[in-house]
Amino acid sequence: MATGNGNGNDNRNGIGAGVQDRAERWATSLADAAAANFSKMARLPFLWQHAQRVRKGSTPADVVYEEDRVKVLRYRGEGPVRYATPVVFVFAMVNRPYILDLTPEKSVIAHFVRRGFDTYLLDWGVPTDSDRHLTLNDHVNGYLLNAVEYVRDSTGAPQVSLMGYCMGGTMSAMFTSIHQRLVRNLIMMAAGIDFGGADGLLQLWTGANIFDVDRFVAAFGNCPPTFLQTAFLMLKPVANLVEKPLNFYERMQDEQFVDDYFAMEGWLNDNIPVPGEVFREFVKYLYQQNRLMKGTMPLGKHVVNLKNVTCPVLNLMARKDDLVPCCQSLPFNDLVGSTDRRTIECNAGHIGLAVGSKAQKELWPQACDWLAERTDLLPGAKRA
Amino acid sequence: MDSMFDQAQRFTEMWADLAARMAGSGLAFNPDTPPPDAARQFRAAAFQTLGQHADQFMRSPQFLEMMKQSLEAAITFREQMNAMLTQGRHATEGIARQDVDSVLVSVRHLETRILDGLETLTGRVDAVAQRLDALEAAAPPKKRPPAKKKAAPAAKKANGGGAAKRAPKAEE
Repeated sequence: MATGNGNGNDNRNGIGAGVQDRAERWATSLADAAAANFSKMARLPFLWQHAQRVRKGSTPADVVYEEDRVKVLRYRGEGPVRYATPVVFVFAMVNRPYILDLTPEKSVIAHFVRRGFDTYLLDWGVPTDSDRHLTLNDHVNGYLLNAVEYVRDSTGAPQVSLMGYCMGGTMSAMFTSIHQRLVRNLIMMAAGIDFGGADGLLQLWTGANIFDVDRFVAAFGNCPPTFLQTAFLMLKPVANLVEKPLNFYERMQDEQFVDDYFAMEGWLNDNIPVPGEVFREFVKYLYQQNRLMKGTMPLGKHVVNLKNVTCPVLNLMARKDDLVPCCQSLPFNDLVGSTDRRTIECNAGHIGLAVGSKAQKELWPQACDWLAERTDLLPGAKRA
Repeated sequence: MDSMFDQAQRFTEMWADLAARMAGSGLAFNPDTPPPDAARQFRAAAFQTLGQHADQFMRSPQFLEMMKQSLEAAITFREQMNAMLTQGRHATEGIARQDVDSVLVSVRHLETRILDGLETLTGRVDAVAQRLDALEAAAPPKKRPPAKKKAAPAAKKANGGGAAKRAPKAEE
C-alpha cells in the first residue's frame, strides 16, 4: 500500500532502490574485505623485515659511566643544555629501559632533551646468576647512589632531578628519602607505594598465603623473565592474547602501525631476570607486608621514611593501569614531607603513560613545564 | 570455597551476559553499516564481556587455589632438578651451582664485614678530625716568628750561590 504523496509506484521504486543500494554497498564492502584479507596474507612473509628494522632507542646517547652491569647513558641534544640541574631517569628492573625512548615520535626522553635538560638514564643491565644475592640496598644505596654522584661530579651540579618509572619510581622514592640532599625534584611515574589493597591482580597473586617467595627464590635464584612475562600477560588475557593479534591482523597494511607494533612487542618480549634478593624483598616487604606505607621498609642500615622526602614531587599516574593501579601511587603525596606536590592522571595504561599518543601530546609537555619551573637556568640561557 | 551451584550460576551468568551484550550490539545495528564494521562491533562487545569475566575469574578462590598449586608444583620440580643436578655434578667431582652459591654468599658476608669495618673506621677518623678542628679553633693564635734577615746579594754570590750549587767535597 502506497503512503505519503500518493504516488505508490515511485515510493516502491524508492524503497527498492534503497535496498538495492544497500545490498550493493554490502557486497562491495564484503568484496573489499575479502581482497584486503588476500593482501594481508600475501604480506605475512615480509613482516619479518619490519621486525628486523626495529631499533632500540632513538635519541643519540653515550655511555658515560659503567659499574658492573649498570650503565649510565647521557643523551645528546641538538641544542645547548639550558638547565643547571641534570635529570636522571631510573627505570624498573623487570624490562629494558628503552621504552622511554622507543621511537622519535614516542620518546619521553626526547621531550626533556629538546627542552634543554641535561638528561641521563640509568640502565640496570641484564642480571646474571652471580647477581642473585644483590639486594635493593645494593641497587639503591650502591649503584643508584654512585650514578647520581657521578652525574653530580661530572656536571658540577649539587643536586639532580630524579624520574622513576614503575619499580624505578619506588626505588627513586626510597633513594630520595635517604639522600634528600642530593635530589632537587622527584617525578614518580606509575610507581607503586601502597600495596595494601586488593585492586590489582598482582597484589592478590603475590599474597603470602599463595606465593612462597622465599622458596621460589631459593629454588630459582633470579626471577626468570618468562615467569614475569606470563604474569603480566595474564593480567588481561583476552586483550593481550586475542584482541591484540586480531587488531594487528586488521591493521597490517598500515606501515606506521606495523613499525610501532613491532617496536612495542619487541620491547614487551625483551624481558630480563630480576635479581633474586631484589625480587624477594620487593614481593615480601612491599606486596605482602606493605612496609613502605607503614614506614618500616628496611634498606641496608636504613629504614625508609617517606616523610624525609621534602623536595617538589610530581606524581604521574595512568587511569587504565592494570599493573600499578592509581590507588597504589596516590597515597605517596600524603606520605611525603614536601609541600610542593602535584598529581597528574593520564587516561592511558601502564605503558601508554610513556608511549601513548595522548601522553606524548599532553602529559610530557606538562611534566617538562613543571620541572622547568623548579630548575634554575644556566647563566645566559633562556627558557624554551 | 563456593558451592558447585554458585560456580554453575557464575558460569551461566557469564554466558547470559555475553548473549545480552551481543544482542544489545545487534539491536544497535544500522543497515547502513557495512558488514565487516558490524562484525567488529559484535566482536568488541563479546571481548569486553569475556575480559570482565576473565578478570573476575582470576580473582576467585578457585583460580587462586589453582595458581597456588601450580606455583608449588613448579617450585618442587625445580628443587628436585637442582638436587638431582647437584648430586650428578658432585658424583663426577664437578662443581654444582649450589657450591658457587655458597662461595658467593661467603664473599658477600666478607664484603659486608669489610665495609662495616671501613664504615667504623671512617666514623672514627671523622670524629678525630672534628676534635682536631675544634682544638685548632680553641687554641690561641700563634705568634708570628720574626722574619729572617736576608743575605746581601753580593755576599750570596761570593759564597757560590748557596748550598745547592756548591760543588761536592770529593771534587774539591
